Amino acid sequence: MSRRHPAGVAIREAFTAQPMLSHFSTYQQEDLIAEYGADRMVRMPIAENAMLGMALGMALTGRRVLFSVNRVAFLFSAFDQLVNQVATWRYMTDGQFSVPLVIRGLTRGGEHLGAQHEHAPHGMLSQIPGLVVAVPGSPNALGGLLRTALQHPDPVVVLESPRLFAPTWSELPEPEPTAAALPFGVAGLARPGTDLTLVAIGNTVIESLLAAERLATRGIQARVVDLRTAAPLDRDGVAAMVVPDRPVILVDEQSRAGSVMTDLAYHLVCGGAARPEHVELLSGAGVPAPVSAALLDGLLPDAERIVRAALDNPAPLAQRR
Amino acid sequence: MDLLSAYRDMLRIRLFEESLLRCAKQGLVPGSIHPYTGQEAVAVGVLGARRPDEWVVSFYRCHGHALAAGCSPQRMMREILCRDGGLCGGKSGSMHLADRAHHLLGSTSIVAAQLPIAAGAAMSAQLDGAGRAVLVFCGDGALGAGGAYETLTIAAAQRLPLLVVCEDNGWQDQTASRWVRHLSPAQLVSGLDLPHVEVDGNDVEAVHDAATAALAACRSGAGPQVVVAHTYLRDFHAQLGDQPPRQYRPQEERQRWAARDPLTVAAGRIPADLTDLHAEVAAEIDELLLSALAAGTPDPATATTGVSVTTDLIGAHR
Repeated sequence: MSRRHPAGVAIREAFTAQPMLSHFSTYQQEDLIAEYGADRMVRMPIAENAMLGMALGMALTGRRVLFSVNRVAFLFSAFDQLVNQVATWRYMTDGQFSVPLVIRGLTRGGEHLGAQHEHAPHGMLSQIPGLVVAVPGSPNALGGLLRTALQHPDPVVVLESPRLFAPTWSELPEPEPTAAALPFGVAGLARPGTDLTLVAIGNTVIESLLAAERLATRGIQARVVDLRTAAPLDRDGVAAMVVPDRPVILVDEQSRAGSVMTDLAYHLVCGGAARPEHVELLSGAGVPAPVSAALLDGLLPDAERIVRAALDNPAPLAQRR
Repeated sequence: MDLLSAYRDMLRIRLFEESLLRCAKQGLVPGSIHPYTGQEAVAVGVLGARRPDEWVVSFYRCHGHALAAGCSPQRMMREILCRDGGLCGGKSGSMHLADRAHHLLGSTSIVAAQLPIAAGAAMSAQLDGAGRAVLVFCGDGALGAGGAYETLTIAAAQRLPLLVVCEDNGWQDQTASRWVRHLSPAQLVSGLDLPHVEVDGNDVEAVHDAATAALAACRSGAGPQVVVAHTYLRDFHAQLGDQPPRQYRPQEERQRWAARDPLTVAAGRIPADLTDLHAEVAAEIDELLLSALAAGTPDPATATTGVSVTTDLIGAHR
């Protein structure tokens, strides 16, 4: 009856199929060690900087590494290795080496851990040349993006919302019919609709799908586009998917400073896919994550804010509005 | 080891670097240059003991390591001068040389960052089970960085076949190491209970013997080994642009080390006249320098190759 988590399925599949794949983590599951061996399921001390450098060294020498950094907050302890080493090695060597390395990290969502444990850094990481930044918006998308990441010749960061692992994960909206491999740099149609477009990434895919359900009860059909990856960013794909002459609401949990959504807004408007007065950006507040739910509410664009924005947008929603 | 052959290798590094320093004064070296002059015995002694299929990881002072690893001096010269036909297509320049064909995994310009990368390569070697070691070079300044200790403790816990060669020249950029660190490199690695040996880094035979023994230990599963080679930079830490840095080290110290130059030490043990050899190597370096200077610059179209995320290139926006 219970559905197996797509992430776990994808990872076991990869370890079974790829004998050259190793896993670095400060915590290793006993069952995975029993199945794949302690030499591949490597127990590491809490030393993200060295751990990531070692993962790079293995990746450069003919192996693939899955590095579970636990919370992406801890990846910042390894930022030199990420930015100066992992992302540059292939380029600096003029393609003599590739870096098949996947970094998984938890972002934020429903855990109330505060500013040093909760980040949604897809925009920041997307600015690092040489990195793929995958941001799954559903459990199947997570499985699908992990599958692609574990075949990819270059470094990939997979940013995973804790909501995708909460006890109720299987009740989340699921726009992907299966957890089959998803291409990088190709936005997905998460929900069809003709009255307006919601463009989302990661957690805001969940919120946008919930908002679309509410709007549907008012007879408004929202199209939801899931970016799936922040880098590469599917600018042209999104431009082709927006409902013409209808509101386009870009929904992001990070602040709008240098964000993928401000980038998209520029592209949609300058490319003629949307009129400036139709485009709206709903973003998170530019403050560190507070622990208190009372403080947090209102800082992030949730389904309610999305519904309100859809109803308030000056562009024609639909004849039935 | 064949001392005459080692002398020739050291001489080639010396003249290669001196030729580049002359180029730098004429503004012909883009970016910076960190000359290996004075430390030649370390690269030649250590790499004479490695097997050709063992990975070498270096750092910004990488020219000597690359030459001793067997990389083409012609392609290196072109890379450092950013001419067409360079080892890394003009993307690495002086500080980041890499050459897969000669098992030079790469070089990093961030102090100590090469240590965990080498440890990862050593983990690959351990899993391969073919008895290969991985060699990594660092300066003594790298032992001020946290990543060094993270790496060394993990390497020890996992008994990785990693040889760390610490080129202890007593300075980190223009700061004397003794001003900023309370223990010597050997004392620091002693504190981690790592097998280590201190050696005269200006004596190529002594370095070679120490590296041979340490590599044998790595290959036999004894875990990471450290060779601390005491040496000294004949010129200086680095030059950026066309002006060499002001003299920043005491004259007495420089003179003391100059008297123990690695080429002089080796030449004293070679009974032959080396005049012809000097002329021969000098002519070789002159020729490849002229050839490099006559070459064009890399094709601008290659600026966007060798990188994963290709949808964000210039022109993606309308």
